[in-house]
Amino acid sequence: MSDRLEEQLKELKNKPQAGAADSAWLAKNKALLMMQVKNTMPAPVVEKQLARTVESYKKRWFSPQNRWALAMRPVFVIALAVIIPFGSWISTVNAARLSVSGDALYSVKIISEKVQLAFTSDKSTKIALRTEFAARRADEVVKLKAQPAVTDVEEEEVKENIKKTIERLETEIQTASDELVELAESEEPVIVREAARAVDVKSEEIGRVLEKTAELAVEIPEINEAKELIDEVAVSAVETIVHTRTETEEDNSENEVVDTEIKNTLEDKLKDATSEIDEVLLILDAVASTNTPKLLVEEKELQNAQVQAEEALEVVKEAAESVDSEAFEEAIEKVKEVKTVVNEAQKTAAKLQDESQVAMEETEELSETVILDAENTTNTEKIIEIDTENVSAESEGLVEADVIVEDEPEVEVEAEIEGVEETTTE
Amino acid sequence: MKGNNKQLVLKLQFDNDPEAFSELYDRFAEPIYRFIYFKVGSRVDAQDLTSEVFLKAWAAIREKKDGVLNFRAFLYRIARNLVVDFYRAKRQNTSIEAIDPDAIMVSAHIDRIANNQELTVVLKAVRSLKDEYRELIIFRFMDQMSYKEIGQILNKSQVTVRVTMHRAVKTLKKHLGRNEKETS
Repeated sequence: MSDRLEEQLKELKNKPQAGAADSAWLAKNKALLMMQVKNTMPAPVVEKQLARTVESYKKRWFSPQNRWALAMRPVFVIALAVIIPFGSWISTVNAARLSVSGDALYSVKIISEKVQLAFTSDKSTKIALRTEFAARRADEVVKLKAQPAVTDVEEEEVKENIKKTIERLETEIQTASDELVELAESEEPVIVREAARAVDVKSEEIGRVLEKTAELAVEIPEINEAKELIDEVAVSAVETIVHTRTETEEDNSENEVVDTEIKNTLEDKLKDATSEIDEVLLILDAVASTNTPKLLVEEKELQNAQVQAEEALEVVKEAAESVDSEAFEEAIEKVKEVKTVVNEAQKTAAKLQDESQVAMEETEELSETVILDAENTTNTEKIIEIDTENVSAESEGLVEADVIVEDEPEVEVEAEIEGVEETTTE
Repeated sequence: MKGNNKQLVLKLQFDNDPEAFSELYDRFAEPIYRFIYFKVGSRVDAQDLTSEVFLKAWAAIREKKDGVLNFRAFLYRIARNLVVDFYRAKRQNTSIEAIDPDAIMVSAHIDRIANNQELTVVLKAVRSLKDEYRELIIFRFMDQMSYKEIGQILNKSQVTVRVTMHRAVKTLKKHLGRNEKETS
């Protein structure tokens, strides 16, 4: 092959047209993958380390060549007495991983998480751990929702456990957010950004998981409150990234990557908000269509909710413009506004949908009763007809009977009279 | 983080060191993306598939079934399989080889390199090669791989790789000659 062609082929790899990757995407994708990798890292290799330690001590102390072996055996017996419960604790923690609030092993799970946090000194790792634990809580809520509850008592228990889990989720995510603010004050922008990304990505993930429990939100309002908090935390994490950007103005190339990342993240958030608003509008339309001709929900409330959702769409547009012009601080304020309005609109839509549903069910029940009444009336008419027939039949019978009854006494009376007459003549 | 690929994989596999993964990503994300992009012709699909390659690699390492002898070859094998799955999922009746390279070429970004006509012609010629040849050209000249390494990825002997490479270059030159005539 000619050197010229070889050179050209080598040169090609730097051309975007020949598949040179976008550096901003590479950075963002790396952050996401690292998150995934860190989150799926196996639990600390305590068991393995323990096994290695035991093995090395075994070799050292129990080898026949070792003169100390016999003398030291009691010491090992004591050591084993410590190690065995410790080992069983590890197995218990592993078994507790799948447990949910209300399970016997759940407290073991929570304690092991607390221990993990207590042994972590690195602030950003601590934040990542907290978001991971919050994500676990969200998964537990979904699992709890799927638990079969036959009796009312069981149902109440499940609800209580969901509420407790939500509370723990909120505590973890709020603490992670607070710790991120503290971290931003003391650490390098690169470290802060990585921690903020972790919080943002995990919060989004938790939000998506909680979506699966949307139908429970009317009965358990804590779910909506948790969603609102998660939205706030995610946006404030992006805000933290924006602040690190202004602090590192001297490095333009780095800022460019960060800018693209912020832009993409904000655009994603606005996209999500738009689809949420669309969904709200669809629900409101559905409620409005069932609202005529009979008013099932307050017309004014419905109209207000529709106006609210449409206003939110306007704010989304404004926010998108701010993102395009890289006015990130302004864009974040708009995103916050959108999130608040969307949450309100979602709540109103859910409430109206619920009311409409109940009203429709009531209307259906009512119409069923009317039909049943009508059927009953027809049946009664039939019964009356039958009764009338019976009555006429009976009355005919009675006439005959009267005749008989009237005839017989007359005969008897006549006979009696005849008898009297006979006796008097005798 | 320093160390060769093998050391990094071992660090990742046995010490659960996320930094090792970060370093491996920095080394291979770009070439893997390029390789996939050449095959699928879409940035978005190439980005998705590249992420998937690394996730699959991580999942395989985590399972720790076998040691990974050549991480680069390992990644490319995952990428090739994912591309095959990608086309299968798209239920395209045409094979990968049958994708019309010109259809990919007739894209907006070609105009952007109008100032570099010669490279455009080379790129067009590479794209017009059949998949087997194109793959070899990317491995050998863009990713600077040895015949041995290419053989490991493709599961072929070094001799076979050399012979196919010779044919690939010959065809590329032929295409270039034709293209050059066309453009001149």
